[in-house]
Amino acid sequence: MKLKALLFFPLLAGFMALWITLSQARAGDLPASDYAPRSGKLTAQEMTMARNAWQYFVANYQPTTGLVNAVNKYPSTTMWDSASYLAALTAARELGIIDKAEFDRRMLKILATINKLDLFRNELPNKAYNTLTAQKVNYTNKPGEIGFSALDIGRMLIWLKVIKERYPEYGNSIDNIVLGWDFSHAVDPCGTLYGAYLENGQPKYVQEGRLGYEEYGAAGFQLWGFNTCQASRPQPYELAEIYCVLVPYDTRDPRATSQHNYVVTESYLLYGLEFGFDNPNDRNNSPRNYSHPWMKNFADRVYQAQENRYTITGVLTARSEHQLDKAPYFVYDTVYTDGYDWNTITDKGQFMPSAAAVSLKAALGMWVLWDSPYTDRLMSAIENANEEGKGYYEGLYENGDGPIKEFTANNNGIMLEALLFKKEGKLLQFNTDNPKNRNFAPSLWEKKLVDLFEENNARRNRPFLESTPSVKNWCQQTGTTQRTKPACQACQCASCNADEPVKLPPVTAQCLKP
Amino acid sequence: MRTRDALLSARSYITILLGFLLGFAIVVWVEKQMPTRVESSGGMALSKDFPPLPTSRALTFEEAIWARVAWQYYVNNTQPNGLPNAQDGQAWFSLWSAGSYLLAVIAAQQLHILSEAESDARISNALATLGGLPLTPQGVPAAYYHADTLKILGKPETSAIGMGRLLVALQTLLWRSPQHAEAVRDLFNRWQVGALIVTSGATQAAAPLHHWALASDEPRNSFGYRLYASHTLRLIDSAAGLAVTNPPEGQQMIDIDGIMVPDEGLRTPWGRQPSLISLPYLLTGLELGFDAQSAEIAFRIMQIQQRRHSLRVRKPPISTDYAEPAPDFINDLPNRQPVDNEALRDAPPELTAITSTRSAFAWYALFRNSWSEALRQQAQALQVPGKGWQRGFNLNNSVNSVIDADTNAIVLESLAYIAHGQMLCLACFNPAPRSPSSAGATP
Repeated sequence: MKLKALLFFPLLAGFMALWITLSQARAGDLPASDYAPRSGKLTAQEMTMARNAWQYFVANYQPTTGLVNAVNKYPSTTMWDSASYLAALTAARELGIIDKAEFDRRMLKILATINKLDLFRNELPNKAYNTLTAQKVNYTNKPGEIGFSALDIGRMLIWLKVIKERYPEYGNSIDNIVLGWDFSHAVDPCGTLYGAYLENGQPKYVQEGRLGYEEYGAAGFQLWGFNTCQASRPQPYELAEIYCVLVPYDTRDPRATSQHNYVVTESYLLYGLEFGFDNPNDRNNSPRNYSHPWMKNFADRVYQAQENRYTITGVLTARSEHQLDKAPYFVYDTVYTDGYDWNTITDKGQFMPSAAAVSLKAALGMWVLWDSPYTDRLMSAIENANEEGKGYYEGLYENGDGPIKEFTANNNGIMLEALLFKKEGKLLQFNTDNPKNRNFAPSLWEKKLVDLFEENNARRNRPFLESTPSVKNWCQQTGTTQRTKPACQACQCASCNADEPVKLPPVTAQCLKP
Repeated sequence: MRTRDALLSARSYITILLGFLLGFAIVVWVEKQMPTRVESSGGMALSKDFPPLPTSRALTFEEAIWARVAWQYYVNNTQPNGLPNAQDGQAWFSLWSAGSYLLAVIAAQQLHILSEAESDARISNALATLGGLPLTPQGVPAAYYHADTLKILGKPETSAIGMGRLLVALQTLLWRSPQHAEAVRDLFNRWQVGALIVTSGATQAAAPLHHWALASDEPRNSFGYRLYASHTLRLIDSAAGLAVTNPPEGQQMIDIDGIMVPDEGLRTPWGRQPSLISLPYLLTGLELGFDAQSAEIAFRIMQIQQRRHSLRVRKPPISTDYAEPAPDFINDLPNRQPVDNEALRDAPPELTAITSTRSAFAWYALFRNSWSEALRQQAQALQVPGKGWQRGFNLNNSVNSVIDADTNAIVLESLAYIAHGQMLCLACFNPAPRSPSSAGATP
């Protein structure tokens, strides 16, 4: 009898295994959600890639300001591109391409420059700066101001936070930078992000950010304590069926808002690399436990649509916004925009199908976040697409016209980020000064925020930090009075509930319909 | 005289005798190697352990992608005149591949790859072009055409079996989309399909007498293909059914690993060779639904394959499909390097045998078990992004990288079978009208 029972055990185990595999392979799941992120030490070939990418930052460094040109040899930059440079700098140090001395020299210089920047209307950094003089400039690099971009500032806030956490010795410099900024027009009580532009010399503040980029930018504000409820929620969105995948896109009408709702790899990619698809404040670094599930899910869809396009049509696809080496010099090369799949448009909305390209940053980012045969193929397509002393090309034209012979800080910076991700996992790693810890020493930023007598807090629309027991202790110790949040949450914003769970939409519709 | 001397003087006779013995031994050995062939005219009954046929289910995500990879073949290869090439980049088609195309369109529409409007447009184009084809002197379409110029390729010969497959497609079309009935009727007003069948007097006293036979030499003249084509060829007239189902030399069976299966007898320069082809039986299952005969033969072929597959000491796996040669191009394609297909055309089937993608998918659709799943997994490596599915693996396990219409059509049909069952189903409900695929499904 006993023997028989023993015989049944493997059979039972087999059935269990079968049942588990079957239940995992439900019809609703995308293969992308089963591809693990790559991790481990960099191979010699990957290290060579990292060194090649770093070449861009050697060639385009401006010793007078410590800034790096956003585009090869063109002395202008934005907050977004400078954040990409900070990312590259971090990666170069962590991967051992530069030593600490070089890192410190560069970091001291750029933080000082950012701290002294001439802000737009004394609020937030202007959209563009001259890298030779650190003067605020317009898009033709002539002195002048044009407005600020909430998304650019969001990305900069993320990287300032990453550096502050990784290298606490820079905490003061970084806190001083952010303390100098005025957020009164950038975030509203419902947590919507606003950018600014000038109209007849008067500043106009308009909602900024579309699904993907909006949540990524908002994460930066969130890291510094802002409530970004409305910007961080995916609504309003709908789904477009693209090669069997329902890809989410922002439904705010591009015709009415003149903001295109482009779906590209980059926004989801950066979220994956920097936060590991976790909530921005998630201090846990467990690679396959995503505490921001809908972001991971949406990223999987954007990835899968591109893999499917390759499988079905044979066009190698890694879409992102990118520069061009000829007019119109910049396109949004999208998975979906303005009602069309695989739409490639200029910022004016002009259709430019011949500019479609495999974006190198998107390709390498996809390679590291999704370990699949397809991303191996992408990798072999791009690994040697660089020029000695210049860095990696912006992209490879889909129509076979060869490389886009342009080099940018953003492209090379994100490529370095991706390689660092392989080595270390998500890039935002909190250091040990957990506010819940008894011995927690608050930073300059936190001290100012809780100080009731700091008049700039209200004037510059600085957030309320969530009070922790240790902060209270410290307040009691130093006699600082703590700012308290207004009691009534609903009077701040009745229409947004940050804790409401997001229901994941179905992944595919027509394709699997029997 | 000593024995030694006697032997010495008889040495030449001994050598000759030994030679005879050796030769005879070789003949006996070769005979032993050949599978046993038994002639039989008896029908086949369904085995007791015939497995239940699978019920329809929705495709998985990956299957949906595979179907779209297959459809991409037709996206690339449809000519402006509405008919696709039978091989990737080669501008020719056959009656058989035209049938494959129509079935692929129907399957693709069922799987929501094509909108109703697009599949209607494609079918109308194809039917219009078919209606304009130049005909043979007998008034029937030829077996092969140039896909771009629509001229007859090679000698103006026709193919009854190819017509049989086209008829399966047209019949399916009539049932599924009656709006095309008029165009189909016009085809047969023009085509003298009766000429495919001839009334023959017996030419040789020794040959068994048949009153009706196929009029031309068939590229696919084998038992299975005849059986498959007979389902629709008999719609031509009452003689046609008799002509196809009566194979000219009586049906022979061969014994492989103790299982009796029909000897297909594909034509070769040395006469008929024993061979086994699964495709026609599988096509019957996918398109028309099994009958006891085709189901039983398919089941037996599967058993042979499965046994060999699961043996601990492996017998070499046997192939039940072969690479079909392209028609003779030598004098026909004006702007092209002549392709010498002579060798391939006349090669015995065992030299062109392949483990084919099309039968892997068909087995996967019709009999769902671990063996067919393994077969399908093997074929999965054969998709070429942007082109479709390759034909299969050669005998030496190298990839047969030809991408052809037939393979991709049958992949589509197999996947459509998984989701919707057989292609021609007179008793099935007309599917409810559906809205076309649209961007913007609400979450």
